[in-house]
Order: sequence, then structure tokens, then C-alpha cells
Amino acid sequence: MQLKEIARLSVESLFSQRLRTGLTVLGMVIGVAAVVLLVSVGHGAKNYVAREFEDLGANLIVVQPGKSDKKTHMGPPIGAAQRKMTTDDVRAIERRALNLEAVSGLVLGTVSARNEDSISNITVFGTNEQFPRILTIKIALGEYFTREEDEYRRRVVVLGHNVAQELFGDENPLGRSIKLNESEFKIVGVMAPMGDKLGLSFDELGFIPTEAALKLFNDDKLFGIRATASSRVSIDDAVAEITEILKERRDGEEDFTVLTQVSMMESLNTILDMLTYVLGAIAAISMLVGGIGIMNIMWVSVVERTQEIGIRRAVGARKRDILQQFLAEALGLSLLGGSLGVGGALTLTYVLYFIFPSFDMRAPGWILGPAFLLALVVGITFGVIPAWRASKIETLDALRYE
Amino acid sequence: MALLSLDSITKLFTRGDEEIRAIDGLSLEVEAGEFIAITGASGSGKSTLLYILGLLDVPSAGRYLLDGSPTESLSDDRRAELRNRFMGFVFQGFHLLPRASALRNVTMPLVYSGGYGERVPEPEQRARAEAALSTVGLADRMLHLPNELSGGQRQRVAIARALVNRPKLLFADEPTGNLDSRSGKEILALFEQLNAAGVTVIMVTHDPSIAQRARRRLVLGDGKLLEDIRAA
Repeated sequence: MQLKEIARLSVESLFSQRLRTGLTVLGMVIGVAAVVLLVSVGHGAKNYVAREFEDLGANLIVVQPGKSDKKTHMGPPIGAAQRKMTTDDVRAIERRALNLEAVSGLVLGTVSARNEDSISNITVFGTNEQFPRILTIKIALGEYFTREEDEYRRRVVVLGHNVAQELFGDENPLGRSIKLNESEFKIVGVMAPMGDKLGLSFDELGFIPTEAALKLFNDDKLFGIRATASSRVSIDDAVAEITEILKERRDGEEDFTVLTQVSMMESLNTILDMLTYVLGAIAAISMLVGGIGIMNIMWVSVVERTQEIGIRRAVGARKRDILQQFLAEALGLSLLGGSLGVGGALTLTYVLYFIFPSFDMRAPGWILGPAFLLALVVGITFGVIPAWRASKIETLDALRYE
Repeated sequence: MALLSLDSITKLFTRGDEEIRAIDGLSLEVEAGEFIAITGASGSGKSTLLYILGLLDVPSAGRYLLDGSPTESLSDDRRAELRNRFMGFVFQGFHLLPRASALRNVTMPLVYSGGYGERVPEPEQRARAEAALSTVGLADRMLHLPNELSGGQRQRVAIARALVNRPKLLFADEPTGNLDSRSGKEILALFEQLNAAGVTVIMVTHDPSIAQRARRRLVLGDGKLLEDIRAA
């Protein structure tokens, strides 16, 4: 039988049972759309994380005390260090490293911040004056503290946008004082609203000089060191330099870990890729259900048209002609389901992107072809058995079937 | 040489534990151009015989030569090809495709001819189907669906379908069984017309008035040939 005739027959057959065809196709549409949508969500999450990293500071280098045994790129267990990491280390790096744009120690702690009117628990970052060049920090009022203010252990603070709002409302907080625990700090800057970056709300933070922070928390060791390479290409050199300098200061022992934004992103991407594939695979199971729907309806179709099979065989159709005819119908169902599913999911992701532009879950191009193909493969696989059965019916039995 | 030659054909069916001889050692020769009516009581095996002759059924034993060639070892596809190229079938229940127009129904055998290296181009398919429908007097009903036609008209569509491939043999199983007597006579007249044009017609019927019109009558009973009557 000619291809054209086969195609015409299956189209006619599918059209003659519109509701049934529609419902069967719907099962496949949902399966295909689920694959595309879930993969798109995974893909969107990956893009989202990548952009957050970019926003945070492009050529970020993270140094943490403690050596992680495995190359996980996710940093060592906190507190696993043998030796303290100190501001002297920061100064040594600053003095000797050639490929760094900026470097700062980091001290972390939670304090109660209060003025006459209100009290609020905030997280405080102790850094030096270079920190705004390492992480993107936008100052709305005043400025970040200076090197002198750090070195002379001045008690000055830059407040996150929300913290300033909570404590001072609409009043200008510049030059005013607040108490962080029991120490009085003078406000020199207020940050612009920044929102969340990688789960950290910058608007709820306070920044104070490293030395003041160490004194406030009565400590002498840093949580870690943050630096930024002078350019993207110099990141590897910068990492090598930092490693060399710190090792030298530790009698050759490498009890710290240097991570780059690139390496951290790579490991996050690995996780997110895995997540995307797992989601896609789970969705593919629903495609299987769609395939079973096709098989079910094909069985019905074969039984219903037993006499037609008999007539066709009597006037000269071979087994393979019957097989092709029913296979073409299954193929038609999955073609319809595949294209509607891919098209629908694609449209939906664009609509969602239009409504929520901050989370770009537009379907990546590479999933469309495979999702469509998978629908075809599933449809044909499940269509083969009924079609094969149709071709095996004895002509005479089929003719007499009522 | 006979067009069809049956030698001791037997067809067995099993129904439960019982073995039924639908055809029991039947021998028969049919020459080209004959017009044969097969009659007999219900269950005499007349339809089974027709289907064996039409290559729709396979005998359990015996030899069936079609145009001098043995048919026992023919593959399923080869049987389909022979049906397609040399045979036409008309059934009591018309057996038309309900969703296809008269024209599409008649075209169907030509669609499958392509599989046997005899591709008929689409315009020719249409022309031949139209010619066949004109032959049976349905030139003005070509695009009607079967359920828009009367019983007699439906059977004429079926005959046009049987004719469209210019068969040597026309097999009819109770072709008038579902028709009123007037339509039945019209169908029979068509068969006579085709027979006059050279088509060998073999028809199963239980209606004596129909059977009488044939030039040769075979009377079956219990799967055996009881009588072989040739009209003068």
C-alpha cells in the first residue's frame, strides 16, 4: 500500500472518532508536556543559580580553613582547621599576590542590634574595606568604611536596607549610633535594597570592620577569606598564589581549601543536572502511561474493525498492509500527542516566563527533539502489539465477525 | 484444462470434542466461463466450498489446482495476491466499509494491487472505479456512503468492488439473501451480464428460483456433491 493511502486511512480513522482520539492523545500530551516542563524547571533552576553566582561577584575566590579530603568543591567541614586563619594571612596575601583585585577576611556572627526605639537580631559580616569589590554591595547612603577605620578598630557599621528601616524607619540613620550587643557603633552607610542572593538576605545584614568584629565576638580567627581575581583568566593563577602564600605561612601544610566561583558552580550544576535528569525520567514514566492509553485504544480499534480487516484481506491486502495501517494509526496518535505536548509545554514555559521573568524556565531547545522522539517511540512500541495482532487475524474469521 | 480442479477435498472442523467434516472428499472441475450455483441445506458445506475455491480457506486434505497450479503450498501473501488479481467476492452482508464512499469502497482492491508490482496511478484507480460503478448502474451514487444506499445499491457497490480488478472469477455467497426479490433479480441480471462478458461466476444460494438461473447447479449434502446438474 502506498504511504499516501496509509496516511489517509489513519487520518480518516482518527478523525472519525474525534473524542476517543482526543482523550487518547491527551494522555500522551500530558506525558510529553511533563517531560518538557520538568526539564525546563530544572534548566531554569540551573540558570537561576548561575545568575545569582554571577550577581554575587564574578571572579570570586573563597578560602576556608580546613582541608576537605575529597574534591567535592563544596568546601571543608566548618571548624575542621588545624591552624587559625588570621588577619595576618589576609595581609600577606594582599601584599604578595599579583592576580588579585581585592582580598578580605570574613568574620561572621549574630548580634542584637538596637537603638532607643527598637531591637533586632541581625547577622554581622566583619570585613575590610575591600569587601564591596569582592561581593557586589550597593551603598545607598554614605559609604563603606575605610582602611583606616578597620585598622584603628573603629566601631562603624554599614546597615542592610531592611535593618535600617526597622531601626530608623524613614529617618536618616547616617551618623547615628546603634548598639551591637553592648558596643556602640556609628552608622556610616546604608545599603540599597538587594534582595536574596543564594538564600542569603543581604538586606538583613550589617557590615563592620574585621578588627572591630573580632573584638566584638572576642575572637582572633577568621571564618574565612574572600578574594576576587583581577580578571576571569587570572582566576587559576590567583588560586595558585593564595595557596602558595598560605602554605608557606603554615610550614608547607595545606590545611585550608581554596574554591572558586567556577568550581562551586560546577558542582552545583552537577547536582542540578542530575536533578533535571531525574525529574525528566520521572516524567517519562507518565509518557509510558500515555503509551498504554494508545495501546488500549488500538486494541479497541482492532476489535471493532475486525470485519474491515477481513474485507481488506479478502480483496487482496497482505498481512503487512494491515500491520502498516494500524501502526500508522498508533503513529498518528503519538505524532499528535508528541507535537501538542511539546508545543503546549513550550508555550506554557514562555507564558510563565512572561509572568515571572525572574525565574527563566523557558524550555531549553535540546529537550524538544528528544521529548518528541520519545513520544513517537513509545507510541509505536505500544502500537506494534495491537497492529501485529490485527495482521494475524484469519481472514475468514474476520469476515464472519459481527 | 479446467480453470478450477478439486480432487478429494476434505475440510475438517472441530467443535468441542466433535470433528465435523464440512467438506468430505469432494471432487469437482470448473471450466472458465461457467456460471455455477452451489445449493444445499444449511450446514451442507456450500459456503466452506466457496471459501476454499476463493482461497479464503484452506482444505484439510485433497488437491486444489487453480488454473493448473497447486494451491496447497501457497503463502498467505501469495493467496492475497491471487485474490486481488484474479478474484472478486460478493457477500450476503455486502461487507462494505461503512465510513468510505461507494467510490472509495470500489477503489480499495486497486490500492492493494500496488503491493504486487501493479501500481495503478490514482487517476486510473478513480477512472476504473467509476467505470465499475457505472457498469452496476450507480454512476449517480458514487460519493454516497453505504448507509445512504438501499440494500440493492449496496450489493451493487460490492459487485463493482469485485469487478474493478477485472477478475477471472467472481465468488458470491448468498448475494441476494438480504435483498427483496426485485433487487435480487437485478443482481442476478448483473451476474449474467458479467458471465456473458467472460467472467466465471460461482454463487452460493439456498433460493431455488435464483439457482435455476445458473447454467450449472451443484447440490451439496453433508459435505458431499449430491448432484451436478447442467442446464440444457
